[in-house]
Amino acid sequence: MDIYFIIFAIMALGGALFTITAKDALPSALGLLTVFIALSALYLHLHAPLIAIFQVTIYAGAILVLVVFVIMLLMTPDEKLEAAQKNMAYRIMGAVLGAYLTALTVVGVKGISELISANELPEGFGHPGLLGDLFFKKYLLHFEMASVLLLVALIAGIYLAKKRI
Amino acid sequence: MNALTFSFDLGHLWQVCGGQLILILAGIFLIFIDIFLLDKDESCRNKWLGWLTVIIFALTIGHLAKREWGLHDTVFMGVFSADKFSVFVSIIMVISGLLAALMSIGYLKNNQVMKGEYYILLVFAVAGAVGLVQSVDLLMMFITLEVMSLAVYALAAFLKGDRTSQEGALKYFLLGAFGSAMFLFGVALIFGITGSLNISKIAQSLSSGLYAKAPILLAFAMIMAGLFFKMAMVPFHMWTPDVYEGAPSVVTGFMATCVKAAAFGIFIKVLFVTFTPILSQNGQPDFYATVNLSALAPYWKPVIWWLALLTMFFGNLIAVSQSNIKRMLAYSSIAHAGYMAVGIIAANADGRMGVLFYLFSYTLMNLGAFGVIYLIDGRERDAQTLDDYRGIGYRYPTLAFLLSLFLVAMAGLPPTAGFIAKFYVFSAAIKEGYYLLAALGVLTSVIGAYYYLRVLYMMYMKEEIRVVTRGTVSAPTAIALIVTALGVLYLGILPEGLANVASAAQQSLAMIF
Repeated sequence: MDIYFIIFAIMALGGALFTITAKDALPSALGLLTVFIALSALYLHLHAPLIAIFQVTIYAGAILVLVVFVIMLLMTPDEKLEAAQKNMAYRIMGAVLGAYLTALTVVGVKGISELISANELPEGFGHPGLLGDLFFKKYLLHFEMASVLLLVALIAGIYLAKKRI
Repeated sequence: MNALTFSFDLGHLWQVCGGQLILILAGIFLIFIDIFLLDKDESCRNKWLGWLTVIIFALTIGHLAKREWGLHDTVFMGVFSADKFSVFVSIIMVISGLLAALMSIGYLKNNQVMKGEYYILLVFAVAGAVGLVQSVDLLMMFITLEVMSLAVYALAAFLKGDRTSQEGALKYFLLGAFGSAMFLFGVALIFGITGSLNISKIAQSLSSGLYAKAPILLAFAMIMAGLFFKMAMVPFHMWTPDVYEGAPSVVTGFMATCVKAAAFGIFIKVLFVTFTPILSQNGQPDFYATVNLSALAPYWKPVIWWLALLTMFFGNLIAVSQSNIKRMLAYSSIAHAGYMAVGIIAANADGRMGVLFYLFSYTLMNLGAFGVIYLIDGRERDAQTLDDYRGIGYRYPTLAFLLSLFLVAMAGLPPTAGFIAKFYVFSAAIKEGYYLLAALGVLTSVIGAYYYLRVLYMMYMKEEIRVVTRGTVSAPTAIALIVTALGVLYLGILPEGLANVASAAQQSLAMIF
């Protein structure tokens, strides 16, 4: 248990607690952001820099922005979450989902611990350079074709979404 | 990290994937042309982009036929191959794109949706389809399948104000995504078990004892199911009628030919190279063990037997009760997928040759039929019911004659290409002892003849109940219709030449490694 782990673990737990206890939706989303950042620091500590990068770009970057957009679109500023919390059906549903999630986590952690005890990580595992190496050597053509795919999606999306073109 | 020992041979890339490169670069080039022509009026832009697209497709066909056909070193980086089989199917698809582009110039004008994105998406759809058929790597197949599908989803929704077009495209998108996901799950399982994505390497590792294990069979089934979606085989055909009815007529013709050819091409490639002993015929000692893969035949043959039968019966029977001609042709296209599956189940050289011949002739007759339909329609959905076709034979004799020719070809009557194509696939099935399937197939094509000939009956023997005004026949559409009509007749009278080429093409399947 080193100090690095303890600091970021406390930060992640605190952020998570804040997320579920905050009365307003927007601060709650910010609490979630804290959790994501703290987790990415923990991944770095576990020698998995690539996952840390993905954590920041995909979760903190893309998904959280989406969450914030949805909150802003759905809620007027003076509306509080309490109205939704009073609903008994929501609470029961939440309890069931929570129990299910806990069970899932326990099973997952058990499975991972069995896997880890059996395997040694190879040299340089999880390094972003290795991924880049694969992308530009073995999977070069796939990488290029994926960019064509994105271009096609862009053209199609613009045509279908824009009213006047 | 390892040293940079990697070498990338641009010349070889051009030799093997030249057709794709032309199409992708041309697609990007067309985006700029569209911007350059911004100050011109719409119909001028439409003409420019349309004819440029036609030229691009013609160049691609030239490259494929001249350079890639007859290449010796056919596999590039274990991802793309330019064997004769892939080149043949690619040429079918680019011809389909070319005919669709010719007809689109007139179609977009008649319907007042002259947007440059149409041609760009068309070029990328064909690029994706060519990439799909050329790939020998399961992951690349998935990516190119998506390139093709995304472009076609957008083309199906191209009539923006039209609810049917939008609804059909959304259905196509959702069910297509479902099919792609199936395919991807299958690929992931195969990769997890064999550690390879290249189809001939997978065949090697399966033949060393992995075949007939439950996870492999599951992966096999999932890959096949994903492709059945695109081929519109019966339990997976639900999207076809709505999409074919909703999409712009020319796009429907394109989907029924190019996308179908791509799906059948890659289906045959994956099925025969990975799951049958075809690679043991190439004389390479590494691949002798693939003889073992014949043990998989009892698993896939009954499945395709039943699917082919169901597809032929469902497609033809439901088509009989349709009153909208596009919807009727959608069910007929399902039925044609069934006939082609009969050629696949024969699993011999004749059967594969028959399927290739079938794809080629079906491309000509189907695109021709949709070309006439869009002309009689005037604007999309003005005249599509069978009642609108009453008396057309006297009002527009030439168009009615062409439509009759294409429908007779689809019904499989001589002297058209449709007859020869059906003859090839059924005779291949009979040679392998599938008498019952062939007999039932011929029976269903008799049902098919009923609804095709009913349109002829409406056109020539019924009084018209309302005046149908056809759209303007523009020169490119006329060219496309004449070419398809001549092709359908030529292949019906002198099929030998194309049959020999198709036969050479299917032999090269054993040489993919």
